[in-house]
Amino acid sequence: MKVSFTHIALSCIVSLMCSLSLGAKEFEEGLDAFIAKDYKISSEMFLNVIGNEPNNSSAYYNLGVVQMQQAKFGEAIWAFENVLKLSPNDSQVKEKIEQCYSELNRPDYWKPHLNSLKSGLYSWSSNVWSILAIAFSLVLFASIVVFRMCKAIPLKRLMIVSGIIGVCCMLTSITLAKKVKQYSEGTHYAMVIRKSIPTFIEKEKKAKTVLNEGTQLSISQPDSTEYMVVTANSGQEHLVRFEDLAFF
Amino acid sequence: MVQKIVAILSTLFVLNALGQNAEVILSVDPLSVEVGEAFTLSVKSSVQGEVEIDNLPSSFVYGYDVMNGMEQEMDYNTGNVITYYFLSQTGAISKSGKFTIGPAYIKKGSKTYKSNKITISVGNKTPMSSGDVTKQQLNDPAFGIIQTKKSNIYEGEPVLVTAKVYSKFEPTHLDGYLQYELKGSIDKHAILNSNRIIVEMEQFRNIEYYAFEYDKNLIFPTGTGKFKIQPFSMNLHKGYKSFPIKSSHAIIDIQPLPANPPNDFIGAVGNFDVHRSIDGENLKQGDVLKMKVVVSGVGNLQNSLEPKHKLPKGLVIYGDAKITETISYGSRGAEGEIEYEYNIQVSKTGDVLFPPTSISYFDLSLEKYVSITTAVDTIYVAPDKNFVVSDERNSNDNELLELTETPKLRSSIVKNMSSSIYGTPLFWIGVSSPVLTALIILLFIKRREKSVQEISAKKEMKRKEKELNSGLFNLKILVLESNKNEFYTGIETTLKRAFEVFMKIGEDKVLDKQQIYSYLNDTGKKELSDRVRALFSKCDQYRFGLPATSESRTKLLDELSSIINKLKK
Repeated sequence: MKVSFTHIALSCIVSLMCSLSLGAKEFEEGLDAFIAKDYKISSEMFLNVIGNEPNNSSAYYNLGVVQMQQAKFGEAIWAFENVLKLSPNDSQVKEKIEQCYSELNRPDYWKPHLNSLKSGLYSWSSNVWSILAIAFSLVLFASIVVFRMCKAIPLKRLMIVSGIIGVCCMLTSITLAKKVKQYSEGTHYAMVIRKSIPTFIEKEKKAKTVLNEGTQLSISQPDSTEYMVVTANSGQEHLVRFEDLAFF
Repeated sequence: MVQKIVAILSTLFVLNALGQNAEVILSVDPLSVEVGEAFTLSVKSSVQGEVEIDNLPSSFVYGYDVMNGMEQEMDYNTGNVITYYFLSQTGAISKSGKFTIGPAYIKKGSKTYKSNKITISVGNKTPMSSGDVTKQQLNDPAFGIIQTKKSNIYEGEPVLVTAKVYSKFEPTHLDGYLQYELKGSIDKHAILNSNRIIVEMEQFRNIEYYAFEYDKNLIFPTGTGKFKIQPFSMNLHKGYKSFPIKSSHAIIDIQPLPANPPNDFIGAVGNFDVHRSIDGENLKQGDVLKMKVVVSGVGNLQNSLEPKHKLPKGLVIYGDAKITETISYGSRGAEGEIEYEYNIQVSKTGDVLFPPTSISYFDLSLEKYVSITTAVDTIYVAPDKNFVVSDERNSNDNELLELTETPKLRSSIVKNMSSSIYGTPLFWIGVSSPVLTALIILLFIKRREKSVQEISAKKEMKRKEKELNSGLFNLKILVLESNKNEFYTGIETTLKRAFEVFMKIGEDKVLDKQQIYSYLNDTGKKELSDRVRALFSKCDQYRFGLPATSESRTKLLDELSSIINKLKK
């Protein structure tokens, strides 16, 4: 029994190492194909890397650049949006998305999903905020203990202040850890990566409105499987087919 | 000598005065209107005098608003401050067609200065479509409608919106106006509104009404789909009587533009034109020339994008284009022109070909994308031996080209976002354990302090019980002795001590009589209270009055013992 457990553990480690090295190899191949201007192979390689390492922001970025070279601006925006999801403060990516928007000749402008304050706060991962919450909890602990033990009034006052700050910071960190986790792990947005997609009045009954490439949408009813209600930036709601959208 | 200097200075002054050109500019805003639509005619000049505008159409109707004044501008080339005088007059034309107005003349003394001519195009009045009117509204003394020029438009197309009021009485004034509203991000421009409201008689559903338009705006909605214009409201007055009115809403259906726009589509919707001019005479290799591209037309001109240019090698655009916008907003949309001025360095020699600049826009009448281009321009660039096309420059250019053609990719930096610890038991233990530990420590300390207090209280109680017993024993000895005071004091002290033990007072504290009485009254032991009172008063009586016999003292001691026994029960 002991031998079989060791075998399983070892095989897990070996397969993990293999997948990582395979990912690195495919990444290198993607870079080489890009230099050789073989954009099709390059995008395939970066997609494979993303399949193995869904949190590889560089693979998403490179995929976006490759798609731009192929004038697939909708797909490029999708890739860049995924980079922004992983690192919301990436200004280079924001510029790239704006560039894609201008290439698409859209009458509207690209708006980031997070404002500058949120981008700054969300650029720290949920883990960082969780660790900060624990640290502030320790600060609170120290403040309570010192407050009870010491007899000097100024020190007691100082401990009250540090305790209040500790509580506030701890609660803020917990909230942010939760929010960042929800943002990074959830799927809240979608976009049109084809030239245009139809909208529907009800299932199977097409509406006159079509959504053009690059249209940003937020998901209003995420539960449906075939059709779903999405909201455009203008506030207009549309019923669209699930398969027509790329999510992030 | 002085005479000579004065003569030279006066000659220079006269030459300067003669050389200064008087500038007279005639302008119209907007450049295209509908029949009856108000526009502003302005004359701006650097000289002051009597203004006369020639060739005003016979169908021109003068408006009520006339404005004149002056303003000062600095000529940044010379540093001179120039005073401009202006006169503006509103008006409307009652016939459709193209009308050339001007020139305007300014007479100053014996001199007359002449301005440019200007052409205004007057289109037929397009009927406005109205929102729904309810039966209730028709029965009201006055009602409002939101009128839109079109109810079905394309994305990017401007639409004229106005608040129209119909009244069965002749209104004198209005107040409390709350504007109609359109949700979402919209670009909105007020169309020239006269300060005066012109009330006219108009038929609406075969009934004669007093009618007027108010708050006319040109709006550029964004997005597609059905957009609801929220109603407006106002109080319409007839003398001192006020009638509140609220309009119904209006709906605009915005269609998306057809898919697959041309690559040179500049986002413009309407009717546009493009012109290009190159200022390139006597050019030498390395010189910088100016290229001007003017996009003009009517529609959503203000939202149009900069045209893209594909220049051959040897022509490099320096910096961003200088953009000059001359846009006026009328009932047809944003009209005017946007001039893009580029600085281009030429490093080629000989005949240099400028490929045409092309733009595409969406034509509303044809309902399709239309592409227009400028002509091909050729300039001659003379070789310059002093101009060295350095290798560095070439390599930089090549680098730039390389950058634009093949942008840099990123090396493999995996963003380590292995599953978040938030929400896991480890996280909650990490957050809550320090806080809980601190609370436990607090409770422990408090309990410890409490137990210390309890122990000392118990000790105190034991001590008091001992004192009570020894007090009773002493009293039994004192009852036979002659020291009476000590006996009575002993009785009182022992009684108080008995109550302290009975009331479980753990502190080192002596009760007074009043506390004992109030305790007994509170607990409803009236009889015992009377007995205690009697015992205390007898002690006082025997101490300060007639002396007691040993029998009486024994009785007192018995009474004390009886009270203590009762307390113990």
